[in-house]
Amino acid sequence: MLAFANQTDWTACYRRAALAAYLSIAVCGNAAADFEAGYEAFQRGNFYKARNLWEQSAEEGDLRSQFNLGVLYAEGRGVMRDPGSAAEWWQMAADGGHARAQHNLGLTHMTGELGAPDHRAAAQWFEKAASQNFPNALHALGKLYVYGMGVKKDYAKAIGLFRRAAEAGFPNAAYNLGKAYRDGKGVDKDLKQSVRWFQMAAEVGYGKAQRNLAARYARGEGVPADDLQAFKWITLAVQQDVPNSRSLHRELRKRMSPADMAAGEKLAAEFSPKPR
Amino acid sequence: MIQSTTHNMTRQLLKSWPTSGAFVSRFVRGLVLALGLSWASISLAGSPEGARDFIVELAAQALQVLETGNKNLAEREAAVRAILKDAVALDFIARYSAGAYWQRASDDERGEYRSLFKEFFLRNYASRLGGYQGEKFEVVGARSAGKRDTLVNTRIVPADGTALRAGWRVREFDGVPRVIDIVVEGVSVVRNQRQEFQSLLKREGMMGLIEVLRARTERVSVQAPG
Repeated sequence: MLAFANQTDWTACYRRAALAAYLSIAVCGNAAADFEAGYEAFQRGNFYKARNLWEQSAEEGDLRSQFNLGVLYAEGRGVMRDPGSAAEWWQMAADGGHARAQHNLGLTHMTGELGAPDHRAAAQWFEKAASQNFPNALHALGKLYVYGMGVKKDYAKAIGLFRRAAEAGFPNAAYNLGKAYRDGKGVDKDLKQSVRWFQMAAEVGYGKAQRNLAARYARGEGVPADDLQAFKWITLAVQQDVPNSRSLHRELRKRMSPADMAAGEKLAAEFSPKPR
Repeated sequence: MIQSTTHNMTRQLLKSWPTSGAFVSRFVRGLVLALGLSWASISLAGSPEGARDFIVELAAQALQVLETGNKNLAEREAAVRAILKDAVALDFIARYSAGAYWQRASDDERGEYRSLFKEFFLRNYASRLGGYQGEKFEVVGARSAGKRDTLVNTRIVPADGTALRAGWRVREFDGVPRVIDIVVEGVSVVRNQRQEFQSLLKREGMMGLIEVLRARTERVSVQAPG
């Protein structure tokens, strides 16, 4: 009897397990399908539909959907802009280990959008996302170390984080690394290295890096002086209205021939940002 | 007399605004329509008629971009962003929003703030405009507002909802008309934004505002499959 009961129990148990596995697959399948359908609707500009689909998949535990819902609320797409709801969805996804959500939640704490700024909480969320090598968070955390916000000021640590983010192709980090080498902050001053990192960021269209690269070419710092290249990069920076770019542009115009300026502008016109 | 342009606007776009409050959501309905204009072609922008033509043309150009079905959302938003950049007096609104803190700011702070403000503004608006799905846009009329401006009154009529009133305040800068404010149901959106900024500036100063704007532009947007 006991043996029979046990057998029955085991049979029931197997059935339940099989059912659970089936449902799990079905739920995951539905969640994935809803997520993708939501993304298609989003791309078509149907933000309402995207929200409805992502709500379904988010409630089934899909982290990407939870994150995307947070974005809809943060950006006010298809819903009334609502930073509180955005933070709730990001919190849910972040708790599940979603790096993008952890990053955005860190920024929410940093800006104090929901109350007083909390740099320590921001640093903790950036840290979690950075541990997954999420480049934006590596960079954000690096900046907290530069300014000593929520963490103890530590240039060396900041440089390490910037380097990881830059090597992952994040231009803001490459730019900050270029500045660090230019100024000798957290690293030994090295103008060639500075040019290398400014160049990397400039090539993907990062305006401030283009201005700094132009200055290096104009002054021959870390690279042979080359007004044509300087004019190319400063023209691109001016087009983006980068602060302080116009003064260098004027300076170069004073000393360059019309033909050289035209050649520099041609180079700028031919510039196409590298994909990140 | 109502001058009607038979354009439809998306409902989603009409639902949000980066500051807060129900009224501002309605602003976006209007802003959607005010993107882009062949400025050089508007020679009478200093007059109410010119400003009205400016807004009508602006709406037409925006809709031309938004109705393009063969572009993805990012491309549509990039096109709208380019139009917005020229159509709106971003420098003016940036300075107005900073108020007295603009005068006290250093050159570097001003440069950084202007640059971030533009990014913040363009991102906030362009991000919503790709969701165009259709409402009617009507120019109701235009009148002088103060010594230098014209207010162009419009109605945005959703297919199944109540029409909203949006006024577009247009001013000429060096002979070029630009939108300097949108007045939605009688409430100035730019003034509302200024209040939000002033409150932050009092607490955190110019550098605090700069950091908040910078952080907002560093947010990651929607994740794609794969």
